[in-house]
Amino acid sequence: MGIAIENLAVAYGGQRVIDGLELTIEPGSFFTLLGPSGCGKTTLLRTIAGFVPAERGHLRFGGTEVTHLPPHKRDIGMVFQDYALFPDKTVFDNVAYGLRARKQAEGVIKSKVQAALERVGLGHLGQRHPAALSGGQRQRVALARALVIQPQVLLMDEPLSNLDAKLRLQVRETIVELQREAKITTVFVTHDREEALAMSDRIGVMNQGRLEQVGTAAQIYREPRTSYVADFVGGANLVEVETMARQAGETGPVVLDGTAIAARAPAALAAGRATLVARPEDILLAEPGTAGTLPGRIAHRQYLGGKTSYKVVLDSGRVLAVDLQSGAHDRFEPGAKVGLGFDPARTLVLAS
Amino acid sequence: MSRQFRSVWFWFSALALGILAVFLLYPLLRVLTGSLGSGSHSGWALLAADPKYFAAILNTIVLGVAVTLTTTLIGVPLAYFTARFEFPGKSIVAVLPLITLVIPEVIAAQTWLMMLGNNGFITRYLGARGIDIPSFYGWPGLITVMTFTYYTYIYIGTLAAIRGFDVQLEEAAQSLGTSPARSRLRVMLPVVLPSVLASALLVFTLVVGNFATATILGSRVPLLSVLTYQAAVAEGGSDPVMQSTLATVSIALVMIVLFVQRWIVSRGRHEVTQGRGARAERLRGLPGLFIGLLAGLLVVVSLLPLGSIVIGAFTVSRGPVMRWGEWTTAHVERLVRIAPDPVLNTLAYSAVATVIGITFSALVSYLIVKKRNILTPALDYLTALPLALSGTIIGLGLVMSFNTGFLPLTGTASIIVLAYVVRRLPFGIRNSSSTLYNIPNSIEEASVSLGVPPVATFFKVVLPLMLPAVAAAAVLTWTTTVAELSASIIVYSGGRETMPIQIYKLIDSNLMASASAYGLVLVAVILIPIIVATRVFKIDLFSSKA
Ligand SMILES: Nc1ncnc2c1ncn2[C@@H]1O[C@H](COP(=O)(O)OP(=O)(O)O)[C@@H](O)[C@H]1O
Ligand SMILES: [Mg+2]
Repeated sequence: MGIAIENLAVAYGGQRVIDGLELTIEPGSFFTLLGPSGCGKTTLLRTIAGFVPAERGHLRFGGTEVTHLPPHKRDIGMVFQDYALFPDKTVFDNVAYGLRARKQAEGVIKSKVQAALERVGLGHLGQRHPAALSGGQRQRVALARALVIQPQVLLMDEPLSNLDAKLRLQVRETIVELQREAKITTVFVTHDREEALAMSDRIGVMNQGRLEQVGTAAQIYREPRTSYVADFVGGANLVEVETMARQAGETGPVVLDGTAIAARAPAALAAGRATLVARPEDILLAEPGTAGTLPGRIAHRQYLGGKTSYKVVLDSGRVLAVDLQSGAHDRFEPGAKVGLGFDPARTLVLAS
Repeated sequence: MSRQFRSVWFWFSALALGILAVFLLYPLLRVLTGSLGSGSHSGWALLAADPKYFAAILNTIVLGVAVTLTTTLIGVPLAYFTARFEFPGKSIVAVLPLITLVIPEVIAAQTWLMMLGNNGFITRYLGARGIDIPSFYGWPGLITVMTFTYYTYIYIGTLAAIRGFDVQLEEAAQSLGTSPARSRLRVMLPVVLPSVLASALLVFTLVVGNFATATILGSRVPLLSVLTYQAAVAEGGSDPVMQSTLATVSIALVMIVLFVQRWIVSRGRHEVTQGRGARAERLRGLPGLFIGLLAGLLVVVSLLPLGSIVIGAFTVSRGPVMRWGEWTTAHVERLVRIAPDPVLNTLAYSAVATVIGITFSALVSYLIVKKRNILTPALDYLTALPLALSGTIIGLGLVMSFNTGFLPLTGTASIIVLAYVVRRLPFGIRNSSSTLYNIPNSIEEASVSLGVPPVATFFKVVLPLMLPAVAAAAVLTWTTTVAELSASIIVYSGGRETMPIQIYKLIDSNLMASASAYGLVLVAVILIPIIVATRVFKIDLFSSKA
């Protein structure tokens, strides 16, 4: 069941947090809302759930208007950052809760709950209380509880951020597997770009209550539409440059510290100031003075195993991050002069 | 806004507000406006004309200040030594919070009289040996009894502050070169002081509102609460001018103090750091023994009323004359066979009041904490209002409002239950809210998202989680309502005496032995639920201290 959001506005006591938001989520897909803390991700998710009322606009689940439907009638499953398990109920009773509310037969409930618990690897822990579980186990119970009712829509608000790094990876995999298997339309909220890139069919990058860009992981990583997205989605070098007017998709020269380098404009640009986006792994280091390169000096080198990270200072004092495969290029010592080369296909120029 | 009106919680809030308006706000307004009297018959003119009233106001303030000082002098050092030191017999100090709970004031006053009154066994014992002690009635009795009634408030408040105090601050001060004693004083004092002041001011308001001790021991010292009660008994609900005027004066007095207290607490708030708890130092040798003895003595003196009530209940008496040393079970037998009504009344009224009070508190605090709307701030303030009103004033308000008129309750048991419920309201609300703040909203949302409507969610998810706190609140409500005197003595009617009222009447007639028999039953009625709750059901009565 797909989700369609039209011209949505949400306010807390007169203060608009979301204004005029449009979004369509494909049936059965895994959609991630990505953005920094306070940008409105939770608000949007809770509006979809029905806990926060929409001030204006429409919300549809599979073509049915649900804008004014109370949350308990929306047929959703929710997973919370703090797990929100019922502490006085056993794991089994937690998972059975939604089925009992749906007045299913006790025998049916028993087999469904057991299957759901086994699916998240906790088949043997049904009689425990949540307090006797680890964080990862608790979140698996919460996941089972949300999925066992086979909701139309699964909503998750930063479900991994209370877990430590190793558990985070494990639970992440469980979530993705279960979602692919059940094909439940899922909205997942996170501020962690790696999580977003690894898990999602599509990602919406949020900024101050607006969606800056919606696309696949590759699209928002490779083709950021704005410098905000480029910056948030991944440690790109963002450098101010001069450009001439450009059409969408056109590759041409921009001027960086007096040197012209070629860059592609994914969207139309006016002449004047613009932002150059170059990812550290897309910059090459060459011998100083090589044609078409920008002169610089290695300020810092850090060996990270598979790759080596460099900080290169340009003559203007600007610092750029450059990542190279370790091994072949280790000849660039700190202090050495180098030339920086940019791959025109992978170097973007965006409106500032 | 329109959305708020559609919510079921809004209508619950409106209903609760309506109930509070009728049973709390309206009676209070009746008391306040009653002082204006009719025409030239103004209470304020009468107040100005009679020096007795001025003396009562002054006496009340002096007594309040005196008891605040004595309780602070006992409570603060006791808390400091308990928090920071190990000494012989320290564990016995832990029973202190229970003592104020278990010993009703009327019993405390009575038993002190049985020890030190004109006919008391200590007075008689010393008198027989040629030692005359000054009369216990008046200032000596008032200050002594109130000190031992109220010092635990200071002790508990200060203890919590010292325990919450971050030792690292103190160590930081030491590392900067101040000596341990001085750094402790310099760093700890400003942090703990707001809590000490707040509990001291609370004691002051309790003294102003005190009725039981004041009326039993203060016959030679006119006090506001006693004069208010006497005016109420004389005037009834028909022409309540003087009682309203005196009540208004004490409300004003308490309000001023509570505002100062709020101000202090709000200023002190940022300083309540959740720190590493202090390690207790071991006090050895003479200092340890000394502190241990003092603390032990304090506990023993605080427990004296319990011993005296047992002795009194089984001592032979001829009218007012107690024959100390001669024993009988006649008083207890008489109580059971001939006059058990006060016991049965107490049990019935308190049981009903506990059920109503706990249910109402749980629902209203749920609205205040979890379902805020434009009405809930008013609920929040109104439910705290009885803190500023003594039992006497609550009783007055109810009698004045429900004597006749749209809801005549005088003469029924319901007005007594009502008085109990109103008096306990702030404590019940505080107790439930503190639990509710600890239940994350996400738990309710999880339930709703699984398809359970909001009201059903409250019953299926929230209420079970509140249950331990609700049980603790029920026990505390029970123990305090069975001991309630100051409001019920104003609203009760003949045949509806409760145990405290009966005890008060017997003390008034100087029948200490019979009073002791009722006292014994009263203490049992208080102690048994506490023991059952804490031992059998393992309820922590003081986790969210009311
Ligand atoms: N209950 C609320 N009342 C008022 N403002 C709120 C409330 N919840 C969130 N906000 C505000 O709305 C904005 C978006 O918050 P939120 O949706 O929680 O962001 P995110 O989940 O992306 O961190 C923030 O500025 C926050 O301060
Ligand atoms: Mg959030």
